[in-house]
Amino acid sequence: MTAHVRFENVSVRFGSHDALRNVSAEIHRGHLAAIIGPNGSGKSTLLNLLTGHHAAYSGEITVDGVDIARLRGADRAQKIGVLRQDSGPLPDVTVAELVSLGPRTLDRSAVEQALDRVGLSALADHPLPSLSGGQTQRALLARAIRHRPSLLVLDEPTNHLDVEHRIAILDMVEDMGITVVCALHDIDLANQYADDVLVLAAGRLHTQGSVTHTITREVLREVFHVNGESVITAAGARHIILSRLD
Amino acid sequence: MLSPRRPERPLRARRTGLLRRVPTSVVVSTLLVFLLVMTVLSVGAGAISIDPQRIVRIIADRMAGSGASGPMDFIIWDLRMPRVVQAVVVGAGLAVAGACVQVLVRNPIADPYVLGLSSGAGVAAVLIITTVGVATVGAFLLPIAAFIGAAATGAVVAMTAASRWGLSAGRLILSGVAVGQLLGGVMSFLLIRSGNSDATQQVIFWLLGSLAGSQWSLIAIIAPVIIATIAATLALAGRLDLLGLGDAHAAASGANPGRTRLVVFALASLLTGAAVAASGTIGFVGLIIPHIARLLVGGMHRRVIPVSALLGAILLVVADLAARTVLAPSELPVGIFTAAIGVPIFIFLMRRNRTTAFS
Repeated sequence: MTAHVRFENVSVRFGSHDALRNVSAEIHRGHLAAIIGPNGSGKSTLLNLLTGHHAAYSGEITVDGVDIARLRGADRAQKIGVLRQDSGPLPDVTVAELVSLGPRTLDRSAVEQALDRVGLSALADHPLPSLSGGQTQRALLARAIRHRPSLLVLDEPTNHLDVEHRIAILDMVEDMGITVVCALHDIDLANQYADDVLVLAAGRLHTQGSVTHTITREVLREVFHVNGESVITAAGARHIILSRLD
Repeated sequence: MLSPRRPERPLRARRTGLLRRVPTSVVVSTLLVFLLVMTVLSVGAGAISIDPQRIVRIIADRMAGSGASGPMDFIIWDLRMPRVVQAVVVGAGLAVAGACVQVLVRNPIADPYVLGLSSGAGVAAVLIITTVGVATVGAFLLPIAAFIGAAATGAVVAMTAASRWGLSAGRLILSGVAVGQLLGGVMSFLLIRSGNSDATQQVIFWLLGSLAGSQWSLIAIIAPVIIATIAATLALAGRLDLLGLGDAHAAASGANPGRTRLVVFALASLLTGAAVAASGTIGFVGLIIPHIARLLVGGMHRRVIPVSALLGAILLVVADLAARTVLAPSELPVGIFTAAIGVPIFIFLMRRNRTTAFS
C-alpha cells in the first residue's frame, strides 16, 4: 500500500497560538481517512492546508509525492476536490452553472458526468436556490469532483443534513473509490465509514490507525471527555454510543 | 435514491432569471436598441423639441466629420448630446461598480459608495468649490480633483483593509465605512468653516448628483476609463463568480480570493471615481441595477455585467430626461428619478421571480 497523502512534521501558528504541532501522518491511496477531535483541535486547519485556504505552515505536505506548496492554485484544484460544511449564501445560478463556474468554464459533458455521479442529472437546469439542503450539498459535491480529482477533502460535509442525507453523501463518496480526507464531528459516522482515523487534540495528533484501534473507550474519555460504548448489531456492524462522563 | 422536492419537468433553460428562456444575445440587443431609442428621445426633448429624424441626421453628419451648421446643430451636438452620452457612460459605470462591490463584500445591500469612495471625491469637491469656486477654472478642476479624491480614498481603504492574504470581505466593508465616515466629517467641517452659503448650495447640488455639467471634453476623459474598466471586469467574470461562492470555494477552485478582491476593488474604484468625478454622487443606480440584472438573467457575471451596464445606462438616461422635463424649466436632482423609476421596476421583478435567493 502506498501513501497518497503524507504530512511530515506539520505545524501552524496563529500569533502565539499553536493550531497544529508537529503532525506527521500518512493516508493510503483509496482509503477514507476520518479526522476527529473536539472543536478547536485543528481539524479544519489541517484540511485548509490541503485546500490552499491557508498558506503559512512549517513541515511538508505531499500528495502523490508532490509537495503541495509547489503546486499552483489551478493545478492543486485539479488534483484535490473540496466539499465544506457551510457555504453561506449561494448565487442565483443553475445547478449545472454552479458545477461549471470558475476561471475557465467547464464544458457541458464534464458537468453532466459530475452531476450523474451524484444523482443530480435531472436537476441540472434547476436554480440553486430552489434546492433542498441535501440536494445543494450534492450539487457542491458534484462541483468538488468535476475535475475527477485523486483526492477529496471534506470538512464536516454532513453537518446541516438529516440522517438520510448524511448517509447518502458518505455512501456516494465511498463508492467513488478515491482517497478521501474527511473531518467529522459525528464519531459513529467516522466509525462506520473510515478506513483510517486521525484523532486530533489541541493541535497534536493524539492517535492514528484503524477504527478499532482509535475509537476506543480510553481515547473517547481522554480526548472528548465522554463515555463511549461500542455495540455490535445483529448484522455484525459495530456502533458507538456516547454518553456523559459520570 | 433521494427524490427531488419539486416535481421534475424537462427544462430547456440553461440559466436562472425571469428571462431564462430568452437567449442572452437577444436580451442584450433588445436593451441596446431600447437605449438608442431613449437616447434619441432624450436629445429631442427640451425647451425646443426636435423630431427624431432630424436628430439622427445631425448626429450622422457630425459623426461623418462635418462641422457645425446652425443653431439646431449646436443645441443637439453641443448642449444635449454630451448630457445624454454622459448619462450612458456614468449609468453603465455605476451599475457595473455596484455589481462588483456587491460581490466584493458579499452583501446585497452594498453599493459603490459604501466603500467610502464618494466621500473622498466629496472632500476634494468641497475643497475646490470653497477655495476656487466653480465659476472659472474650478469647473475644469472639480472633476479632476474629485477623481483624485476617490482614487486616493480607494488606495487608503485598500491599505487599511489589506493583510498578507490580500483583501477580505469583512475588513473591506468595515474599512470603507470607517474611512467614509471620517471623510464625511471632514467634508462637513470644511463646509461649515467656509461660511459660504453659495458654496454650500453648490456642494449639496453636487452631492445629489447631476448631469448638468456635462461637456465633451470631460466625456473624452471618463468614457475611455469607464469602457476599458467595464471590459476588464467582464474579462474577470469567472473570478467574480468564484468570489460570489465565498473565499473557501474560490481558494479550493484554484483562485486567490484575496488578490482577486484587490484587483476588482481597484476596478470598482476607477469606475466609481470616474462616474462621481463627472456627475457627483448619483444614488441608487449602483445599488438596484445589479439586482435587476440578476433577476432577469441569473447570477453568472458574464451576463450580469453587460446587462447591468445597459440597464444602468438606460435608467440614467430616462431619469435625467425626467429630471429636466418634469418641472421644466427648472431642473430636479436626477437621484430622485433614479429611485422613483427604479424601485417600482425592482419590486415588480422581485415579486415575479420566485426561484431566487429573494424568495
